[in-house]
Amino acid sequence: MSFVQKKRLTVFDWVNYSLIGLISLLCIFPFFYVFSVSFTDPKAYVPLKFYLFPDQWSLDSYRYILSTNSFLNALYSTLYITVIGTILNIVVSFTMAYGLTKRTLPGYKTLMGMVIFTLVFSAGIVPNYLLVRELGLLNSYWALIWTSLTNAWSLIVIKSFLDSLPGELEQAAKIDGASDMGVFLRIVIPLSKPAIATFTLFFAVMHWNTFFNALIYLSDSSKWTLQLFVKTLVIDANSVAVAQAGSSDEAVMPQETIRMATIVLSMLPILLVYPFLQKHFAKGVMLGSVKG
Amino acid sequence: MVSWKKGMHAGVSMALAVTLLAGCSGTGNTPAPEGTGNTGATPGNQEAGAQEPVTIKMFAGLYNEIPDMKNEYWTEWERMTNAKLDVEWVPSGDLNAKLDLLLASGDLPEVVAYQFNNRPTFMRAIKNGAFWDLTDFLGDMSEYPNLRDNLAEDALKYLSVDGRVYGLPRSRSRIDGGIKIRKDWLDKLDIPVPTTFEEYEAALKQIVDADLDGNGRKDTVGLLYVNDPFASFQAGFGLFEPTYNDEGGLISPRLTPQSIEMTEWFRGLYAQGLMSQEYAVMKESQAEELFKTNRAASYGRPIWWDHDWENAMRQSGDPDAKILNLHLQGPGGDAVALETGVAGGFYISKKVPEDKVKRLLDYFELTASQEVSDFSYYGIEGVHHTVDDGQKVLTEQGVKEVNTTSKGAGVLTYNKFGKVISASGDKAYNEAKIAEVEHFDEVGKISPNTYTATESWINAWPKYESEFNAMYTKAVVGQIPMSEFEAHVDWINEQPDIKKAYLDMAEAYKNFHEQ
Amino acid sequence: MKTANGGNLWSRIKQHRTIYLLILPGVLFFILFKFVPMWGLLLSLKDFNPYLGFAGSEWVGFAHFIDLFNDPKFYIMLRNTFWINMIGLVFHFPVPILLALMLNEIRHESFKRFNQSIVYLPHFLSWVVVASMTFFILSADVGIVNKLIAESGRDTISFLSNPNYFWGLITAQVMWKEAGWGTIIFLAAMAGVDPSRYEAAVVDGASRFRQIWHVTLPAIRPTIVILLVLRLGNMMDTGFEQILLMMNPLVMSVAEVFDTYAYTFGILQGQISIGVAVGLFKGLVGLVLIVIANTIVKRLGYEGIY
Repeated sequence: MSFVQKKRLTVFDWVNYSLIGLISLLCIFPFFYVFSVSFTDPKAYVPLKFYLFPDQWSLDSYRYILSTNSFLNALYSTLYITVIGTILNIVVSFTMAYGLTKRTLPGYKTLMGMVIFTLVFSAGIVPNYLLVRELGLLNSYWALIWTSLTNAWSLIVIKSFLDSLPGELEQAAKIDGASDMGVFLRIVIPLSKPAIATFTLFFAVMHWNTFFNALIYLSDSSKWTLQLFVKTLVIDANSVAVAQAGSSDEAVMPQETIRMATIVLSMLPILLVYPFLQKHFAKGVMLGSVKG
Repeated sequence: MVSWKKGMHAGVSMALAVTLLAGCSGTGNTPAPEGTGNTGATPGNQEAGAQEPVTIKMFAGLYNEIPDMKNEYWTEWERMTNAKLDVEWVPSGDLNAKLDLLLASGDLPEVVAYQFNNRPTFMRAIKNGAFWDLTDFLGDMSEYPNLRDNLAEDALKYLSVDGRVYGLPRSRSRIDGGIKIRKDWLDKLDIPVPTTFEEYEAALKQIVDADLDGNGRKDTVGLLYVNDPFASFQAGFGLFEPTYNDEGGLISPRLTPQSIEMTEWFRGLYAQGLMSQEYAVMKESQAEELFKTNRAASYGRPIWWDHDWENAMRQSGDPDAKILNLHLQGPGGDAVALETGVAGGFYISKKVPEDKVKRLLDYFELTASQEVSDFSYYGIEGVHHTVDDGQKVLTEQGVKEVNTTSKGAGVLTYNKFGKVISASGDKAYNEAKIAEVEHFDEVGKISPNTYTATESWINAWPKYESEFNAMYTKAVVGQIPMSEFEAHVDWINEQPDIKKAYLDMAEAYKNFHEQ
Repeated sequence: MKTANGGNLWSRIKQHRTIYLLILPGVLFFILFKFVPMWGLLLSLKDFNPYLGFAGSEWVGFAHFIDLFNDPKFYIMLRNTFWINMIGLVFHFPVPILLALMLNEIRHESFKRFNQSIVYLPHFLSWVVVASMTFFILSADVGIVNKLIAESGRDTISFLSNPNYFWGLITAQVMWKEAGWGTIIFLAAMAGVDPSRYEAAVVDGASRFRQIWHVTLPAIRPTIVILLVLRLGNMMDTGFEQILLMMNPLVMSVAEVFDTYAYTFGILQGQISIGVAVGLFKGLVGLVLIVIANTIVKRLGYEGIY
């Protein structure tokens, strides 16, 4: 946030605020439809009409979804995978990224080469599936968690964040006798709060939205994740897969209101978590300890 | 500080170790126990309870919400068929992806219920012996009367590869789609029901010109056209008649001379504004919405939707909405297309030991009985349906538990009007609908593609497909002259790999009709 | 005090032992889950038949690659992929940065938080929904935009079926869907800026624009550079699901890309080897671009990705 003497709104501010307002409106307008339709009485719903507010309020669609066992199962599965997965993601990603900031580490070049290689090349579905099967992880949540433990993109970005932390702090701590681990845990991590918050969000959303891995690794429908569950309710004749599969005549398209309610429910938890993480982006990090 | 540090180290390593162990020992795939008491049992023993129920690990498509296998429907189903089902459900849109993976990794369950048996990966699997050849097990079918008598015509032929039977059919009706038109609009404008393509074209023109919604613009769509020409139109132009080239190869329907004629006709419709301006962009669900909200006059889709759609049309403002399925005469004959009556099949993988194959066949024999089939459509009386004036009507629980997915666990008898009857319509409505279309079964034609798509065709066609579709669409919307489209079709038909495919297809056609 | 350059290898390893401990979980993960399955890349040199297994499948050498390069559509796919990515780079890449700067300049904390929570929402909609929405807005038959155009008496515009609009349309969709989400990383980077630097700038008489130019931008420059280089590694990728949904026969000539080729010939026909070959090709191009970009970046004095 720029620092200005007075809290007076300048022309700059007016223009900025208006533009942002416009952009926000652009981003949110489809959600009026999604939310309104989800709360509309299924019997009163008229297709192809743009809804700003429901004609007739009803919680029927939500009641329908929440009454199924499968929704609760899917929610549980997804929460389990997201919480545990994200924690492990952060631990593994930050430790490894920190290590990658140490360019004097013997074997550094090999490590970086390995990481960058996986950035552009991937083995493919079948070999990964075979590996998961050999490890006995098929049909287990851990297939999803272990296979997505970290990734090259995240490592590189986190590494760049860590690189931007002033080196003087580490040196100062070392002079005071801190060990490598101590430096990592007591200096680096606390200063990385914005990065940790950012990547917690990224990893959590990644887990929350997992579809394909869940499809291929989880054969037991009681273990299905939310996105898989959503697919069964939001069977969309537009979808790529259905179009290719040919006959969509066997699939019955559920009520639009139910489909919208499903979309809302699948987005809701992340929307609720985000504001809590947001405050870590906003605060500046006090680096006063180094100055002077 | 030293002890704190040590604690941290220990804590971190402990946490990692615990999660590692928990993960590795995780719930692996516990194999289902094999059915007991099978070899000694008399084949075809229909009495429930005479043997242990057979456990079946099945791969099947999910067309609705995830079913609760312990609900009343499934419990009763398992009792009736003396089976215990362990189903791996796959969302219907992702069947191909999942199956291909299972085929490639060799991880097939015992039974695969699959619709798209013409796909190369599946054909390859069959040819490489991934599934049991059932021909000898079935023999002369004397032990399997239901499978012999209750299926659609030629059902097993559609599931054969090189003359050997590999699958048991998922029975569906042959009458499926119809060219729909708004009967109420015809009546309103005093237009007689069209019986030929010319009359149909004129009727559409009249409807569009009449601007029935009175908004000053002729924005009613005449014919809703999505992706490919609706099968019934193809039949009407004679695309389903086997057409041979100079070498005796069987030309693919869309590349025949009749197809050119059909393209010309659609071009005419488009030029008169009887199709959506950007029809090439529209998807099925969007077209459906337009039809249901009274913005289009004609659409080709399965017949059983009529009742639901009429309700939607009424709700959108047309109180007298009525849909009629047309029987038109085109240059090539009746414009009625039929499905094969078989929507893919049940395949038994080689994972299953030989003696269990017989038990599985017994299971499928049971599901092909009238009793089980009726159950799959209506469930238990009093729980899933009530009998109203001689007609079975689904209750709320029925609607929830008895659906497309639940019909997917068995062969089922051939139900002539399975895709004609509306689940929500009453007896009178359905009887009228049957009367409207029952003759389709006699006059309708089946596309030869359903049984002549050889591997050579499947490998060759993708090279030309997108270019062909582009040229076709440009011809219909008038961006290129018909001569250019014709030249393109001729060019494709001259390509060596296509010509080779045609010869193979002619062979396949001959074999099918000789069996 | 720190390790001297000439110190022997073993002592340097011992010195860094805690670092090795820290990176252990990650390295194990990479070896097990990323490199062990890498044998799959060799499938591109074979004609994989799952029933013969990897060993039993026939070696075809570079046949798949040659087929790819010889395909009459190869240059079309290359052109389409290149332009879609270039347009995306020019128009879509800067947008999250600008948006983040704008958000950063909001002085009322609650207004800022409120908008931050809205602009990232479109990221959560599936492409199926976005394609559907695009249809209902831009269709020549039922689209709102064309309805307004028709009412004003002019001819409707075929946004969705005119090849000239396709690349722009695709990019606009991506911008709408991902710009807000993309701001998160930059906002986090801006959060690390020492407020006293803004004070110093103001004291020096800097206007708002100058403050942004001299304080905020330099602070996020490393992030921008890194993301740019990473983006180049994806230059042969395209949003597969998005393109498949927006494709129709009339725009084929501008819509076919390597991913659709891999899908048509690889997945639909069950030829795994083709899919792997295409992936390998894309990866090689991406790698070359990353190496070049990284070298340029470092010459210019910035931190590269390695």
